[in-house]
Amino acid sequence: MLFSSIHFLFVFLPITMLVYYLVPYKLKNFVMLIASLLFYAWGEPVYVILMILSILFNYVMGKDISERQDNLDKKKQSLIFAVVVNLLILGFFKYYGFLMDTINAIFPFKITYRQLPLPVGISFYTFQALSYVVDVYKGEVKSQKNLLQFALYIAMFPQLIAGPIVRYIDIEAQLAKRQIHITKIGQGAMYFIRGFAKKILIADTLGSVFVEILDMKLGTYSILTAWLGCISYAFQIYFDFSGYSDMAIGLGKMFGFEFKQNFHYPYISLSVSEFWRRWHISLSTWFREYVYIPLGGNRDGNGKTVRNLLIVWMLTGLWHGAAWNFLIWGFYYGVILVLEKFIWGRAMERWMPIVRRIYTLAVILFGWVLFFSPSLGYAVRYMGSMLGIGAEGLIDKQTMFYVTSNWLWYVVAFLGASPIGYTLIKQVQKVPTSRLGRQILSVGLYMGIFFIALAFLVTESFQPFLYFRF
Amino acid sequence: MSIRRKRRKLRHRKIEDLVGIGFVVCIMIFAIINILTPTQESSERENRTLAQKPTATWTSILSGNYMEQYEEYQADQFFARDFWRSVKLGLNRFSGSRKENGVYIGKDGYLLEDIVIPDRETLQINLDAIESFAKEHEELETSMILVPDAANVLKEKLPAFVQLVDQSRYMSRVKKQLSSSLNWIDAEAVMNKHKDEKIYYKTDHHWTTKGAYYVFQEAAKVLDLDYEKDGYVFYPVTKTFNGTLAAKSGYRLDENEEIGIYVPQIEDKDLIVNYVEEQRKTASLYDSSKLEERDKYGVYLGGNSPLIDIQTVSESERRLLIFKDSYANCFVPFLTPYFREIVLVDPRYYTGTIEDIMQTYQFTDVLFLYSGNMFFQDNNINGVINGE
Repeated sequence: MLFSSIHFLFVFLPITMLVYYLVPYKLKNFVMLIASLLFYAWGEPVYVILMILSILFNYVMGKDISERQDNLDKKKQSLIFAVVVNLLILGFFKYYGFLMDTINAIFPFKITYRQLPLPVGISFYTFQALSYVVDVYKGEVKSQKNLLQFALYIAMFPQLIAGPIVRYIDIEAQLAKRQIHITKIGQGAMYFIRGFAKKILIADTLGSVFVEILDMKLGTYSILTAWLGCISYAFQIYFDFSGYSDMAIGLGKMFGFEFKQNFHYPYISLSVSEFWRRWHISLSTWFREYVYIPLGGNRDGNGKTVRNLLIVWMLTGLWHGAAWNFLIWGFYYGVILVLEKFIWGRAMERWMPIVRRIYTLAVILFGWVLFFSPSLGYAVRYMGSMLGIGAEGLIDKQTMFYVTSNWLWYVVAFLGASPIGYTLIKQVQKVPTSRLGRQILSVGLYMGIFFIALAFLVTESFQPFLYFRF
Repeated sequence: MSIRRKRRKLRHRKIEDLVGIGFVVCIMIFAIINILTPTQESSERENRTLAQKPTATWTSILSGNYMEQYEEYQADQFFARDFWRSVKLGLNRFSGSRKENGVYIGKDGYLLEDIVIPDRETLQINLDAIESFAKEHEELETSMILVPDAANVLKEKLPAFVQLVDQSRYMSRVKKQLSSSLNWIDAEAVMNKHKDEKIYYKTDHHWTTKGAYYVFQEAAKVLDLDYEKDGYVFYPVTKTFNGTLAAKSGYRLDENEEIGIYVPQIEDKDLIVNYVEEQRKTASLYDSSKLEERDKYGVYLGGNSPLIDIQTVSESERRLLIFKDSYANCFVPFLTPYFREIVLVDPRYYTGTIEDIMQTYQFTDVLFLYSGNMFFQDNNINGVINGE
């Protein structure tokens, strides 16, 4: 089920809220779990079984690891078993087809295979389960005895399908005890409305410009149209994914949970490493904690650090999808981060901010070309168009048409991708001098944004989230 | 708690609390309104049927189809659909949007449909089918009229900066392949010549009867029809036509246009129109009941039918078979004086094969009559001709 669907907003959510708020405290986890399973089953009526099996398996493994606390070897065996099984399941559903294609391409014989559809959210909940078993192993958290609480950790509907990837350690206490009150519900509603508007108004509108440009034949449009396509995609993926995260955080709050920020204005970064500290924070954190640091991080000399960075970034690329362009996209960032760390990182500090900004944005935009292209050859030719190779002049009518007929959304996207937009909302809220005036204005502002986004939702055709593919 | 204290309490609430209350109350109230709103069959304004509540079966639930249909149903049946749509359109208008739901909001009140880019393979298959049909039936006089769409003729009515693909290029491809095996009637030249007149509706994707009349004059030369230039009187049948492009885009919904028909001056000849699959017969080419509906273009031959057989009292011995889309509906009335029988096949709806029809009737003439956009996206022509 999508957060941005009529069905979720006006059937699932009101019923779930009503029941959840009315039942006594002891039953709240139970209600939340049932709602979450229904939520998942609505989109994946068969794979919900797989998720339940994953929950049971990791629950048992968590207990097993903690029971072997005194025997280091046995404990390690349990951990390896748990990690391997989790990765095999993920690998089977996500990478099996890619692997077979690669094998078929390398060897002279052909193996036929049947690729099953990817279960929604499997990349996210498997990573959550892994963070749990590893933290239990490291002794950072106690294993969860209460199956209900553990199941809720994996399956909780606000973050189940596309993150944020919540670490068990961050939420352990809240699973047992959390506060639910109107101020928190209100904060949650504000988050949710902002995320909803980001997704419906900005991501979907500019996304349709991107799709139109992508549908045109390469080489028939101008340099600026190619750039506009890429910029539209950059806005689309940011507002789509951060919108989803904001909705998840908001829903979490409405049900009493606190999740960490997943995005922090990534496009204002002054370096590529800063971009990755601000983009999909929960995923970068996960890879740092569970891959980079266990590999040795940056403690074993420069050679090892470079190796570790490249491994982490290629895995990050692969996590986004089983395809060569994602792998290369990851490698591209690995290389750039290594270069920033060892070659021009120091020098960059003396660059003018504007230069750093242009450099960072250029790296990001070319990165998105790798990311959105259906094939590598396409990516190379698209980048060529952006640089003027095989493009039809600097600017053409297409560019003008897209800009003039969507200028409002580009302006809103620009403001929203930087802190200016949020500051502006805050300033507007402060305009009335009386308390009552401020109250009316703020409520009106948020509900107005909600209604406008709702108007687009009701009339537009269905648009899934980009990150559901991952 | 007294009302006054309650009020004071509300005033001291934080903004977050108020937004929270507003949001929760809002989704609950909307949920209840949605339940109470009766299900609508179709949307008059958008001119389309709305999704209905699906029935649940085990297979549809397990495959996820049921959930998808249910979500469509929820979105289509959301209360006050027209209001939400107008909010969206208002904002889009403000942001300078010049394209809504695939329709360009052109100058001088014109709405123009995007030009369809043909799928190479499908087009080739269709052209081959038509060519081999014409060659196989050499005894028949086969002709083709491919009418360009408004966006290709009225280029200057398109909004600023819009650059569409050139439909003429695709049309010449069709002409190049087919002109050796059939008579090509150059509708494009005719439409371009008269583009300053009202040959297309402003709010609909069809040509007007006037446009059809000009092309008929050209066709008469090729088809060797003995028509009299001033043999028709024009009179309007409605002045309140608002077409499908207005419905689709939500723009120019207040625009009222005129639909007119040309009637032969010589006294109205009798004819029988047989809607074969509907098993309905009428004595008129026009269905005036459609003038009460939203899509008044249906006044011609009652809209789209798979197979229509028109018998006239013409003294001519000629019998005509037309492969067509809805553009033909306002064109056919010009032809009735010159053919004893006219059979109209719409491959989009007709499920039989052409051989069935060929055996039933003794045709002397065949006409392919399409608008560019429909021809370039229709993948049924080959199927009907070759019975696949």
